[in-house]
Amino acid sequence: MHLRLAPALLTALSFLAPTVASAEFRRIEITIHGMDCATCAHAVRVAALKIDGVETVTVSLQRAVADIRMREGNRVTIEQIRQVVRRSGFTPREANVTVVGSAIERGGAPAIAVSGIDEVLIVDVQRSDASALKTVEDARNADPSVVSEVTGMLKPAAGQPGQIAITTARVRRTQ
Amino acid sequence: MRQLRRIALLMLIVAMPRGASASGHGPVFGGATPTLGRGGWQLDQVWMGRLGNGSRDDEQMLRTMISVGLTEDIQISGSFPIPLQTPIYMPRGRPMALMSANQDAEGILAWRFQRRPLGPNARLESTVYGGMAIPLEEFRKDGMRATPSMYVAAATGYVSREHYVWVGGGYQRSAEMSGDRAGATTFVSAVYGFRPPALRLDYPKPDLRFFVEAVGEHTERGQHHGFEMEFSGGSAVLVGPTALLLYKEYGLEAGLLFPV
Repeated sequence: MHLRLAPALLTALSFLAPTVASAEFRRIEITIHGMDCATCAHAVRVAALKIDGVETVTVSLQRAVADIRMREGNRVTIEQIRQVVRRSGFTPREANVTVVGSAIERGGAPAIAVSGIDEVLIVDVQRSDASALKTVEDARNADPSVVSEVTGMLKPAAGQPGQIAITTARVRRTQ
Repeated sequence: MRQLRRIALLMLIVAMPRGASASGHGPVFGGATPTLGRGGWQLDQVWMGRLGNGSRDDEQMLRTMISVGLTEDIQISGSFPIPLQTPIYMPRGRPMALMSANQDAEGILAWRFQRRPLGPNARLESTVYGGMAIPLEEFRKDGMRATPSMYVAAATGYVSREHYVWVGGGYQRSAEMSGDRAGATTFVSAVYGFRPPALRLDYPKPDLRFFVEAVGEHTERGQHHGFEMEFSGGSAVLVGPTALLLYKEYGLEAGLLFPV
């Protein structure tokens, strides 16, 4: 069930991660179209590893994805990853991402800021408000310094380069 | 008219990091759509042998080609020959779309002007080529003056994890100097490639695929002191199998063409 996050959840989220000024990508699993051979995959892997902040890159031809893990404190942007794919001669598509950072409010809707790009908007949440709120409350009660982690499907927002919508997102606490 | 019996070719590909995005999937002889990633480069070392009707028609050559990706769709290549055995009267032709068969240094600019992904592992793409060859000898083995030549070609193809199909064609024409000019060469090619299910292994495992290549070429008669040379020129249609093995940035490719 897809439910929009309630403003209350946004407020609760904003209590999380007081030590994190802005969010960062920890994992980008990007779908690549047009990649057919081992050297194609190798070219993408080597180029992605050259991005400062990238820790590991695993490319699968069968699944047509590059799974890119970032170090803590990185400033890698989704556009850098998409550019690597394009410059290797292929077409970047949607991506599953994991973002770690603090939630903010943007136009009355919950959002999470990522370094290097304006913001990543949380559009839908795949859990009930009550469940999400309970998770946030539990996290806050257990440790006020925990950061929120958001995972979801990332697609370029139409007409807004550098601003990316996260759909089917979920919120969970992480240390 | 001289008859070509067969062409054998062995190619060693060394593609360096950020390279070998598309060159690594190409056939040996026929026209294809190779394009490196931006900033990528590749080194190809080729041994090519051609057998004619006698030892005087046989040819062996080593050729080294270096390619650089200026952008993901524009690639520049330069190749240099090391002749081992040069025929006297064999029509030189152009058995390899990307490399001259003459004792020439050759530069080629490739522009992939069309590229359309057709899903996760497939795409359609088309490339045009323009190049120039500068002879590294003053006279050919048959006594003709060696002159510079220009080369244009085009290829379009379908690329996927299962099948590869390319069709292409090209034209090479030499300049005339002191009444000497090598015959112009026109070629067309068709390539079908297949990666059997058992070989569709995921990266970083080795990647092996097979091709059937067909090349048709026609070389006009050359001109010497303003007169056509009787024993020059010729036509050939050649068909044969090739195979390409890739592992990370390294590749090994070999093929054999027979006249039909």
